[in-house]
Amino acid sequence: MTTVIETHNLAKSFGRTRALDGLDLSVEEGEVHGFLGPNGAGKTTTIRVLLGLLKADAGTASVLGGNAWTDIEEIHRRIAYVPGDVTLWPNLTGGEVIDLLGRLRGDLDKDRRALLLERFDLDPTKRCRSYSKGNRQKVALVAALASRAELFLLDEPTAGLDPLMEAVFSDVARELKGEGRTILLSSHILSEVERLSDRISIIRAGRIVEVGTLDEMRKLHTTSISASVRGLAPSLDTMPGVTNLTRDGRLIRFSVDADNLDAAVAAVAVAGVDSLVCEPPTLEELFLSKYEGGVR
Amino acid sequence: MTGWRGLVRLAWRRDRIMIGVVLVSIWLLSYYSAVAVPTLYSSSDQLVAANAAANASTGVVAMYGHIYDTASVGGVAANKVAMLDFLTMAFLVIAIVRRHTRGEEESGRFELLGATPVGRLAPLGAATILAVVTAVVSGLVTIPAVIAGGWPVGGSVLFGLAQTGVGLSFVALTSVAVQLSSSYRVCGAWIFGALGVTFVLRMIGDVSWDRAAGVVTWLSPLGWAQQVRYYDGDRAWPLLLPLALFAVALPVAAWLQSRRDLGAGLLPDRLGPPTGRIGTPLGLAWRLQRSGFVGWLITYVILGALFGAIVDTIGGLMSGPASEMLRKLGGVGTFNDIYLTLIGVIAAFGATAFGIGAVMRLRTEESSGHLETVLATRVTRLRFFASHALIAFVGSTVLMAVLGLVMAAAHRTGSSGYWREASPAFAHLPAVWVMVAVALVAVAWLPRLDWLGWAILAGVVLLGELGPLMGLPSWVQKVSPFAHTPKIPVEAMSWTPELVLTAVAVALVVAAAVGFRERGIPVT
Repeated sequence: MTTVIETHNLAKSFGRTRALDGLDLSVEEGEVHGFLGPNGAGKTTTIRVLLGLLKADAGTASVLGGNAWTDIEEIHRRIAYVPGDVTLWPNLTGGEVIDLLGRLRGDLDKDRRALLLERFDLDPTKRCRSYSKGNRQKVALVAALASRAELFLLDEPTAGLDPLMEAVFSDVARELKGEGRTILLSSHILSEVERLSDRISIIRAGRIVEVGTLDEMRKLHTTSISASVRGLAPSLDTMPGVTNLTRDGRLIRFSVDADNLDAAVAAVAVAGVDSLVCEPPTLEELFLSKYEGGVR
Repeated sequence: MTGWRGLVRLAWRRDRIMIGVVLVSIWLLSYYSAVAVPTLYSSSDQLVAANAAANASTGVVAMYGHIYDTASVGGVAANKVAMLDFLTMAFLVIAIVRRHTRGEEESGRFELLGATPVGRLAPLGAATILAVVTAVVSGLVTIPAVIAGGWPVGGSVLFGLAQTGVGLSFVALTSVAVQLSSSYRVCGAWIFGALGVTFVLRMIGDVSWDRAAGVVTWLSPLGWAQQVRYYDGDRAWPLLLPLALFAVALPVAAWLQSRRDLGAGLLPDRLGPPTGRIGTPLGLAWRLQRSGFVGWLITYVILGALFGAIVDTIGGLMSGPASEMLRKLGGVGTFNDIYLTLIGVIAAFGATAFGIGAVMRLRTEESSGHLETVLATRVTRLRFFASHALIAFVGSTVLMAVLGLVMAAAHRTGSSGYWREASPAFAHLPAVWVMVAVALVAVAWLPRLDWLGWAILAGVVLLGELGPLMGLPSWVQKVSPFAHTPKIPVEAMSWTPELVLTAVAVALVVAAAVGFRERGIPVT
């Protein structure tokens, strides 16, 4: 498998603010790669560096085998982009903007454009100044998704979309993945990333703090268990790997890491179980665990 | 109007630097103009002669107005500085009112305010109040400034109040204009168009002051202010006209505002084409700048025809002694030649303004976030840069060419030769290019100081118009590129400065292109 995006030790400062601080990001061909982080973690800065809009102070960034800063024409021919903050030319219609961006990219696909307009239920004859936020987002999405790009850089692509349109977007993203395209999906909406991504990179204060598949990440983290038990299961109190233990009458709740899951479940079983709920860590919990104590 | 106090404070907080800088400039300009007069004319004979000469030149009258009493102490200096003050005041109040009404509405920030207990009319009211206070303060402080400079008290009071009157007139007109369209730009086109029309009306009125056509002056708020005749007859009653306009226009604006939806204009947005044909950065740049350029082009065709048509009336406007005086003062060239030279310089300032405006569009594309989307396609920075730069350079060049060619064509009888009369417009092109290139450098290297282009143009215009009057040292006056282009047909054509300026412009464009290619985008 080839690597489509590869950055090494990327750094970028704006004045005294260090936006990127040694960022190593790697995206493989054909995957949907979730790029997770809260506001201000450096997601948009990273994407701007990948697009050659910003010049990194240090480190390297390669996109589709080319240098992100110097090989712009070659790279941009093969990528499509949805900016995080979509602003459109107020006096052009949505249709005009979609066609403009398609032509500038060099691969306007009329059939696909028509199909996407229909799926996203977008009226292309309105002036951009009269579109709502969600409709502006749709214009940017149709413009990008109608292309035959190999790599899609999507910066919070579903911001402002209603749940129905979010579902349409997810379908289209899956279709693209099925065709072997690569998607870098930047977001702080965890459910979306969870639903679509093969692998996830979590960014914090300009650094990637964790990379892996959702399954791999879950293995590294705790499972939460709540059980209604007849006994007390006292061995849980001293068991390594068990945290957040609470007892409320017969209800017992705790979290346990993957290595001790076996022993913990056994301890509960010994006490006699009436009911047992076992939840794998949600992405939310993975995410929060990376952010405990706030941003450095 | 509930909540207007808070909105006035917000508007003042956002505009205080702009307002402060402009007002101080007006005051200093007025003061130094008054101070300069005694140093220019040592005797009252010289003053009368200078005023007579100014009256004799249609170009001067067309720009600054006619002097009714040639013994006027203010005279040509007061007329000049008054017109500059008036225009500055008009631009300032237009900016204040437009920014805090339609500008806020289009950006969507009003929605945020609209959800708070703020009255429907509060934004319009707050913008108007800030602009009116600005106009009043500016006029009132100008009065002691020119008195301190040595001008008579009575005339000075009227001089300051006339400036306030211009402010009130344009507050009134702008408050209506911002109701017309849902687009900030279109509203701007309406009000700046109105400013242009009022200027042309008073220009026609001044040039034909002693004939029936002179009455059109009374259709123009700028004309009303001039007709106060500070130092030149001193009459206060025309000051009532701006008040009357204000009293009529503001209720109209309030009525329009209270009837329409937030964010809407009087004219609804029409649906547009579902598909587009724009496919290149140049095509996009042209589409964005097209309407602006066409407006300028129409203006320049009309002005060219107008300027050309009135060349011959100059002779009729001049009395025998006045023409004799002008010959003695000017020394070279015929009156027609002096007039053509003047028109060439003024038109060059206008074309430069178009060019800088076109350059600034490149910058707003960046700050509004559009540029990011465009550069994510295979469009390179240089191509994007070049397309807007091309429109700036070609556009300003076309404007000058059209003005020269139309003016020469409109001057039929008594022409000293078609090309000879068309060429003054072309002679200043290299200076225009240098100015546009400077604006490009500012946008490329100092994007946060992108207004430098405008500031430098304002400085150059002031140097050209007031430098000689204020007796600035010649090296200061030579900073302006327009000081180097030959003033044909009064002066002989000389190619050296033209070529040097062109080379400077080219070098600046290259420097700007390098800067734009290397810096981070977007800088907001």
